[in-house]
Amino acid sequence: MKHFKEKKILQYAAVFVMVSLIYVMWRLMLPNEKGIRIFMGILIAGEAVFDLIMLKQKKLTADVLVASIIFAGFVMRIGYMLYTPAAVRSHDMWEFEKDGYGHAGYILTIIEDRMLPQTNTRQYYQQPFFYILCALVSAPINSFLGGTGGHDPEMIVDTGKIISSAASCIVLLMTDTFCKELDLKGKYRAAAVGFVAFCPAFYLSERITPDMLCTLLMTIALVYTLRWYRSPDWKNTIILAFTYGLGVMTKLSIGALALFTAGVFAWKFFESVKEKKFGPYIPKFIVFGIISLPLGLWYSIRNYKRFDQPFGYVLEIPSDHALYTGDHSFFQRIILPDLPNFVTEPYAEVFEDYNLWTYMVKSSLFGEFKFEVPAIVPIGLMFAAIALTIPAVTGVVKGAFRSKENKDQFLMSAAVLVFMASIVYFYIKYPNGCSMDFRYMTFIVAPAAVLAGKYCAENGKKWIGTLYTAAVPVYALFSVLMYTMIR
Amino acid sequence: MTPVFIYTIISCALFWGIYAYRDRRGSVKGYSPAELVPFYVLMRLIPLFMMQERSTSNYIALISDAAVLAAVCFSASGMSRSKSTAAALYLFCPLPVICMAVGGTSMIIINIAVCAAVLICIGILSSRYPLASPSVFTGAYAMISTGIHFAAYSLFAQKHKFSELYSNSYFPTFLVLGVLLVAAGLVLFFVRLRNYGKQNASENKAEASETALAYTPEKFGKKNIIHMILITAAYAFVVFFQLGSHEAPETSRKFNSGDPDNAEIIIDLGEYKTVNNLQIFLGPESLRKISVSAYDEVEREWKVIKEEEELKTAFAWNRVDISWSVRYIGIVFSREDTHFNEIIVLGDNDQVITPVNTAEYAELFDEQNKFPGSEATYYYRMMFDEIYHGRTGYEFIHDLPIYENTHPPLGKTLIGLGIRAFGMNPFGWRFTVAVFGTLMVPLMYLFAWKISHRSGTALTGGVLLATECMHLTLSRIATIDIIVAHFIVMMFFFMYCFVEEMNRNGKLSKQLLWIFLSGISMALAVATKWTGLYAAAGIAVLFFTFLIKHCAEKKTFKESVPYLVKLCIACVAAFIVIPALAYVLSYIEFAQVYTDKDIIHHAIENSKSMYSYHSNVTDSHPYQSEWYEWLTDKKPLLDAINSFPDDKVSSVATFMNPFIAFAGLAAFFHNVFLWRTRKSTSAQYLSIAYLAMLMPWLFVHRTVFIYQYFGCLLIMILLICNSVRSMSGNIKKKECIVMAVSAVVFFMFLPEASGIAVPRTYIKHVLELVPTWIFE
Repeated sequence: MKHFKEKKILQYAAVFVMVSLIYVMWRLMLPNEKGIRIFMGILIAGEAVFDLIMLKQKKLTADVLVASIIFAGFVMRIGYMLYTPAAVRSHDMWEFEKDGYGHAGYILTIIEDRMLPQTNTRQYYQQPFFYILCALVSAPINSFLGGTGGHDPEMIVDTGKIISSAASCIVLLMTDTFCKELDLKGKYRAAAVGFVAFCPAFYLSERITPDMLCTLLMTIALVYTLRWYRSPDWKNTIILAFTYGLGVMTKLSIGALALFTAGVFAWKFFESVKEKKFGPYIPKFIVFGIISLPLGLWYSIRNYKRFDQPFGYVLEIPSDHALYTGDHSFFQRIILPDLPNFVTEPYAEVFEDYNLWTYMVKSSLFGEFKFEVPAIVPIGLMFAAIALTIPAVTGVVKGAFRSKENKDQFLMSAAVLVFMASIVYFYIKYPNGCSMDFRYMTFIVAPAAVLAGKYCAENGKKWIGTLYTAAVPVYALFSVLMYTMIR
Repeated sequence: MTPVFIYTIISCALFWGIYAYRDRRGSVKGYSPAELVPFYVLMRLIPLFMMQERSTSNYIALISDAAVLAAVCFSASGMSRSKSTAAALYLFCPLPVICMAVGGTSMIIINIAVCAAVLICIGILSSRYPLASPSVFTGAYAMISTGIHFAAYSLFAQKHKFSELYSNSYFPTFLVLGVLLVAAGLVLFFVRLRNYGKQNASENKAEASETALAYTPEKFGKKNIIHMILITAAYAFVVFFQLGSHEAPETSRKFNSGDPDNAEIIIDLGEYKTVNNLQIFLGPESLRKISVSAYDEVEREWKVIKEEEELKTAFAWNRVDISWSVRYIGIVFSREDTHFNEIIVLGDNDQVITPVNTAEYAELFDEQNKFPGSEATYYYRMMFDEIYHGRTGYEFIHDLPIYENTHPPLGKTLIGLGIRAFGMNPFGWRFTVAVFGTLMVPLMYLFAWKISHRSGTALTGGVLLATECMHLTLSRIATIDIIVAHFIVMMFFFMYCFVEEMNRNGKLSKQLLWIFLSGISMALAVATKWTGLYAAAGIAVLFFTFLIKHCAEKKTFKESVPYLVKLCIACVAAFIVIPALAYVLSYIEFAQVYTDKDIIHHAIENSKSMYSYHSNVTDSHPYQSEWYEWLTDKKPLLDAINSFPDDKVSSVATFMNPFIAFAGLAAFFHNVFLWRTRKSTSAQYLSIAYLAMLMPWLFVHRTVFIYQYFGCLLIMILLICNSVRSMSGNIKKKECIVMAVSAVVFFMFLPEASGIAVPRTYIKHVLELVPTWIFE
């Protein structure tokens, strides 16, 4: 198995710098939303033409194709981030002022007071890492921008999108890393990267919430868990410890993946116990705990001490609220997808829908929102997503049965399944429309896409591979159309 | 229009699935006329006659389609595949079916134009590449056809328009799906076209002729008898457990608005008491109207509390809310012939108040201890159509005017036997159906054994039936459906015995015995309910299919003549004379009650009135469902429901065990596959039987309910058994899994099938699987 190239970290840093620079330029140029959408379309169409020319000249290798897909993915991500102000298609932003008690207020409090919120009201109970990063990015950029909206609280908060957007771009780059980890090549590698590149959940998550940063940290955690399993050395242990520490400091939901990593630790440890070579593991586990636990839990302990806030606290929604879905049976909500729901309309209805799987697919495409675009586009996008779900689910499930043949594939499947089990548990515990939103599950897209590719590459049944490679371009087409046409 | 689209897509999917399988093995050798004619009927005539209304344009489309079909056959005659294959592929293309169903000149032109374009393409390709097989295009053809089907469904059934593709507010989902599939099919077509003529000839793989048995056939022995006794006893325990109360008020008094001495009741409570409500157990007539008044001693006048209150249900407790402080209660009757069996006066906290003048109305107050409380569940009263069938059973016994005459009388006569034995109480009127339901278990065991000659399969059949929710509900409700179903299963069973005997050239006397037994069963079925006729049509199809096959395979026509003559005579006697006699004789009660006509006239006149009634039942009903909704167990029928203060609910619903419903549907497709690819006789027999029980409902446009699928459900159980035994690997293990899953699902849903009160949360969170399943 090929090892991860260490210089990747520089690429990721470059992505962050690039996103920041583009954002600054955008602000300086006094933006035109329509213009950027047209520009996005031109860039992607140009790139498609380039690929066709390369194909005609028989120079279109998998590397070239993947590079152009990643480029298109960046265009969509950064473009969406630029033309969507922080207040549009947002979640729990509340007022753009210091005591707004929403995500906006959290960032403004850190910038203005140079300290964390002194209350846990509404969204202020959230872990602080994302908001700290937003403040660290926003403060210098907005002082640099000065007159061009640099003192407008809305623009100060808006700058925080750089973090989510950069995270979204890095996850796309890391998808190719997954492909390399699983030795996935050729058209299925391109299909897997294409799936992630054009998945609208990655554009929609470029908002002022910690979800995309959490997704990035989960992705890093998965990569390093796989690598730790192969090579449980100090470097991998420490990176993993920092990833989990910062991950929990971003959002507690990374804890679901920690269960998977804990399982891998235990598995490796018991294997070493059988071989009587468990000695080196114990100090590594201790160091892992020493780094990750204080990093991850200090804010929860602070809030517990100050506000009596329980560990794992989330804002509860009462059962008489319109979002409550607990009046539908367990079967209707969780066991089978609600297929007739796909026929009625493509958009998710947060106050009406109750089926987890159907809502997942719909919200991965449109979030909780509705758009004024010709019906053929969202419906086409929905059908392409349904088509992609078939190889994705098959890939994940089949991968879980390959513990002997391919450990990496098995571990990646196990990670997705453990995470999905936590989502199901969460939805059972909090039966509300918003609990089903895909923004909490974006992490699964990259591993599922790669596992689907791996399954298609190794499986004798041709149709599923054809479906996968055929559905990705359709998905990409409708995704680009959709998110260059919305207003 | 929707049923036509659903029927077409299911038929096409079935054909295309089997065709693709056989094509991959290179075993499509063409289709005989004996196959093409049924294909034509299935894909042209049935959809045409399924539609409620047809116009000339539909018939013109049918004729023009026949011309296209002929052109397809003609142009395909020079190709590597036979013209019969081309005809079959054309027949199972949804576009012509839609054109015919929609009608209209434009649709006919579209059909001809599209087919002509396809034919020209094929013609050019076959002349350029004479050795290449056009089967490489089947994927693209199926995809484009399916796309057209979905688009047409959206345009013609859902009334969407192409312009809505660009709308922001309408979502023509099927239209988009159709367009996408057509586009994908065209892409696939052009990809195939690029490689056309370059592919190698497909490798022919031999197709198994008959399913090779993975086991040795067994003999019916002691083990089987023990199995039958055990399952039957277990099932009987479940059926008879809390079947119904052995007690109900039986003494009655008749009131009549036209008779001054019997037009009213005055109840004297002795002093002023707060009366919460009256509970009135109505006699044989339902929908009786009464007015309830209270006497005001100050103003010396009667004050009306409830005017023209309708008491809806016969042989059940009917509640009349009052909430009045009163001493004298007056009840005035608005209609002739109102039978009251008992009146309960309930005060505060539902305390029973005994009037002081009970002696004046002795029959109305002599069975106060039989009042079960204000929440009388199914256990104490009539539910759903029991008010027709149970009541008429009672009327038959007492030679009273006959209320229910929309079905032949035999079923109600049989229900009357239970009433005669145990009295006019819930147990009495449900006893016969419980017995029939119970006896169906060993019958199913025998049938499953007969198709497999294997104890495991027979046991699976018995257990699946014993764990079927609809079977349990219908065994515990005094309606005629379980009785007719029992006779139908007997009919199919005896016919299968005949087919088996004939196929192994058994003795003629034995063959005739099975024919007669099947005929008698048919007679009893038809005399119970007309659905027996649907099964009879199925029996006829089965009989002729297997007879023709037998004669064609085993004998020359000349050798067959004496055998056929004897069989023909026996069939006329068994399937025409005996059923006709039984049908007429079943009207004996009619002739006894209404002496103005003889029994034959009663049979004829009532049959006419039944036909007229069933043709015109189109009133909507909250629990009505279409035939295609039955396939997925979409809408249960709620027979009875009672809520209790401790938030428990007792409800009785008619629905299928979801496991059997879906496994049975899959088994049907598998059996058709076994029939078409492995030439399995049992699979063919059962598939035709299932279709025979389902197909008639495609043409019925009256209000129908899920229990009308019960006949199909019984065949589905056999289809599951046949499927499992035809699978490779460990059959025993598979059977155990099937039985276990069915039993678990059955016990999960037992409260809903039997009326056992369970917490509302259990129903809401566990049992209501889909939004259309409403049990509370």
